[in-house]
Amino acid sequence: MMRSLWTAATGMTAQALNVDVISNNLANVNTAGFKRGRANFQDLMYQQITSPGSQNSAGNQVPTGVQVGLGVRTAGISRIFSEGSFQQTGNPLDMAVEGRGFFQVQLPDGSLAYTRTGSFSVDSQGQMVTPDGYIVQPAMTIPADALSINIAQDGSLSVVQPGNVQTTIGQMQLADFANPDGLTAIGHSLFQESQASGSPTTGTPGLSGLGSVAQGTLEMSNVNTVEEMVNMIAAQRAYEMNSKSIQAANEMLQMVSNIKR
Amino acid sequence: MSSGFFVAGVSGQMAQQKMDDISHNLANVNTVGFLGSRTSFETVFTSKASPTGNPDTAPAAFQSMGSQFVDTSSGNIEQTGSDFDFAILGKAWFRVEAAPGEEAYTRAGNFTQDAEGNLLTQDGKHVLDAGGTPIQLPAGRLQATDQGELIVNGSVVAQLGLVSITDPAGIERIGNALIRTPVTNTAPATDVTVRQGALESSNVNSVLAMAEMIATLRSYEATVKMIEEYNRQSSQLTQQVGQVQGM
Repeated sequence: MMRSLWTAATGMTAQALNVDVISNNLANVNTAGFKRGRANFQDLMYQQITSPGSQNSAGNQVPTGVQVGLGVRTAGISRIFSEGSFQQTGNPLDMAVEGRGFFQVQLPDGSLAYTRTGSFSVDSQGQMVTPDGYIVQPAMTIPADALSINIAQDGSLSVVQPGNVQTTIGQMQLADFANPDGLTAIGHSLFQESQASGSPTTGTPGLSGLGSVAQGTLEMSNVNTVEEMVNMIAAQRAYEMNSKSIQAANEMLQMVSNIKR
Repeated sequence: MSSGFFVAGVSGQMAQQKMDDISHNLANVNTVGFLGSRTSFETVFTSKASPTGNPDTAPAAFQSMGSQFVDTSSGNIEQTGSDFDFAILGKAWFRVEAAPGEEAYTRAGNFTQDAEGNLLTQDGKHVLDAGGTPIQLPAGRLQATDQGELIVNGSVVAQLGLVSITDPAGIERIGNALIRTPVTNTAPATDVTVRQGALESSNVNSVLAMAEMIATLRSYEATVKMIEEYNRQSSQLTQQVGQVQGM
């Protein structure tokens, strides 16, 4: 049977995955702190028919070999951590990181997760939590009688209480990774460290290469809709052309089977 | 049996090979840094020697896989915005460590890094600097100059290894967007520009590939017609020759 059938099938599988990734990006175009993904493809192995430098039937050395490639594979889906646009929200507990770094969040099982989405709020005990109710680390409790909340660029959080008393509540810490692209996305706009990301280093915002904290601001998704639409068209057409390869191979095989009636 | 029968058969087989090649090109139409190929055929004569040593005067010409042409022209450069994406403007290749002490080259600049900061290709091969040692980056935002110098936190930490290939015919594709060629066939690249945040897309021309596919399909159809014709002749031979007229 012809290799074309399977070669084109790998092409169709790859492009289907490409459309999946693009769809996920488009679905999250309005998700604060979302980082877009990108499928990376590579050509599969080659079948050697003639190796370069071998002798042909006339006794001459052939300068170029003949290799038939066997299709395409997905090398990986990388996450692109470019900064999204910033949006002013006016909510005092909305924070954005301008530059490198992640907010730290404690999951119910006690492990830490990392996020760029700083849309925090206060739970019944006054603790600062994510929209899913996970406690932001280091944990901070906002007094019930706080009149206003102020977060400085270096992440220090202070409140004004009745009688114009200003109290510093705590200090936000940001985590950074040697390779943020290697983080594992676990949904809910959260990431977890992996073998590839390395261990986190934490520090004060604005120091040692970390970004500063902007209060009343949210980082939007870094998905560019126009780019995603163009990518989707390219993926869909590539899918279509691969299906034509299958059709052509099928037609060829049909011709052969029709020789003998 | 007529030798034309086999000539047509071999020719059909070659058309299948060519279709495989076209399918491979189309499967990689969205593969970053992929190099398309085209297969050409050559004629092989069966040189059956007669008793006096002279070649037979009635040779049959078979088609054989002659040579393959790997297209080294540049694909389109697309902006991606990722700091770890690099595209080369000009005829040059990134140096990659295929195995310890063995180099491969690629135009796919969609690099990544591991926890130690090693700059890697998508399948985890080390990217080499101008001196041939694997590039390791300190933590921090990566920037690059047009000459391929990598800058982290304001200081130059490495220079991307770039080579040009003297004879493009000596290229062998080894998968994973990598190519292999003898070191003697390479030279340090000059007059090239590295663009950060961009990638070179596959250089497969899909219009040309579709046209080639149709042409291959039709030439295959023609060879199949030849086989059908020989088949018809030989069945006539077995059924009609020797049939006594009037019986």
